[in-house]
Amino acid sequence: MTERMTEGDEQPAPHAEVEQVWPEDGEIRVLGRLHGLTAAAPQRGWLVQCALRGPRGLSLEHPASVSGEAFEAVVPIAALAPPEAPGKGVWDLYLVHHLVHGGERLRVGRRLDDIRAKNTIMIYPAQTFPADGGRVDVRPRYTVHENLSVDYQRVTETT
Amino acid sequence: MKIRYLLLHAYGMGGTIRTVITQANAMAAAGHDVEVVSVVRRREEPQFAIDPRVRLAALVDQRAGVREPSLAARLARRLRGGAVPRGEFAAHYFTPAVERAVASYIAGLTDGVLVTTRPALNLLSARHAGRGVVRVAQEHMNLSTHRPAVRDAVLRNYAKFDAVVVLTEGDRREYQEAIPGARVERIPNSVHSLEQPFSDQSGKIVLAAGRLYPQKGFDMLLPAWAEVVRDHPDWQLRIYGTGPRKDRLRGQIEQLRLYNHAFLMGRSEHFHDELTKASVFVLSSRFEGLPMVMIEAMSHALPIVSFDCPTGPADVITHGEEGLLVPPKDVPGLAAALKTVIGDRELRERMGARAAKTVAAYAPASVMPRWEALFSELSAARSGR
Repeated sequence: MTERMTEGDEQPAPHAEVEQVWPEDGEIRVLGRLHGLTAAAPQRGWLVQCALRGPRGLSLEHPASVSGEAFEAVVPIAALAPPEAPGKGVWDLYLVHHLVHGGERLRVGRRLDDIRAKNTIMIYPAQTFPADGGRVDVRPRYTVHENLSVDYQRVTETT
Repeated sequence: MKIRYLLLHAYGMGGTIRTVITQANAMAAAGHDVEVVSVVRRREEPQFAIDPRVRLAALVDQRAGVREPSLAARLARRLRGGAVPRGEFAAHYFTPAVERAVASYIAGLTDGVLVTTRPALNLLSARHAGRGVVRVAQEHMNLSTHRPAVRDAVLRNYAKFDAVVVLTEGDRREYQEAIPGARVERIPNSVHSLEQPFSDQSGKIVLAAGRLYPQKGFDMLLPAWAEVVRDHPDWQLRIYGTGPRKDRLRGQIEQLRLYNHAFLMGRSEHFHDELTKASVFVLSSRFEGLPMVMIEAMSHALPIVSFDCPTGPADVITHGEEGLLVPPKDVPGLAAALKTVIGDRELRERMGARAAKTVAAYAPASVMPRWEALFSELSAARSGR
């Protein structure tokens, strides 16, 4: 997925800068800071959106909390393999608020530090949950643009 | 003078390779006729810059792969007894064909200084070098780290050298006592340069570096770091290097829930920039010869936290001056020392400034003349005989 830039402007689009990712206890908890907003962030009404990369259009939303510029987003992993989604795929993570950035979603990523190619360095554990007599493996990871996505894959148990 | 350096793999990465090439470059710059001879060649290009005046040659080209020795060749060597004992860490490089190539290269030399750079090569030099050659053995490791077979061979053979050169004063005493007939000298390795930018102590980064291998003790550093981040969750540990224990260390990072705080960085093209960004260097090794990467870190004014392992750290730094020394393998002690420096920026600045002063003894300008003087003296003694 290509990154959105505000048109005709040198400034990169605002985003949600990741500081910590905790893939534990059936959740993926992401902590960080809102970055590049032009006005103070509203403290209520935020959602974390998981947008399926393909087929496009499928997305899941959960409430997210914001305090000052700090955010905390929690994605329960059990929702990450709905029946209408293919056997494996990628969820891209966003924060959304209808009053912020013209209602446009903010990509969750880690772009402000000095580590590039994070997908080879900042590696998070996989988690698993049972589904349809098999299981689903999910693992958050950074994209080539240093954004945060979650890979999922249905695995059929073979005995 | 004609000076030849024999290296196992001049095309590889690693502390010994780097320091030998730095030395060869300095000798060439001083006007000597210098050759670096690599026993094997497994890459197209050397990983460290070699002065164009230095000739580079390889004895066995293994770029296409390593040929397994035949059964007959292995049996023949078993009967004859190889010069390279099995306990040598690099023994697997010395197939019968490789050993034969090294032996005949050494036997064919008639003049100049031959510097061999690890036990296997030293032992082959002791066995095969002719009378016209000034033989210098470099030992980059502590005597006690050699396995028994290697140690026995070292004790039997090293008196044959014109000089055995070790890296630390502790090593010098040990080798001298173990081999009374040998001439043992101490010349430390030199850093790349003293002209390095200093850390400004603003980055919340502790840096470690080395091959991902048990010797480096990263398996002890990680649990210590888990203790540190309880008090300092905004700090990162960055471990530079590659190696066979990568997956196991990654597993340990997961198990210790350190995936937000400890990172295996791999190899860096700009390692000196990474040192400049850090605020502490940590050495968790089980043993060392002379930990050059620690000394390089000192050239960036980084304070050091290190196990007091054999040998090197205590030879270079004094506890409380350039950093903190912790009893070997004392994981809680390592955590406590890291917390001490992380919690006190002024202490880090003071120790870092001190480290940058101490490292002057390891500047090329201090070290290289000592090699030149030693080679000249030995060559003069040889021709006057």
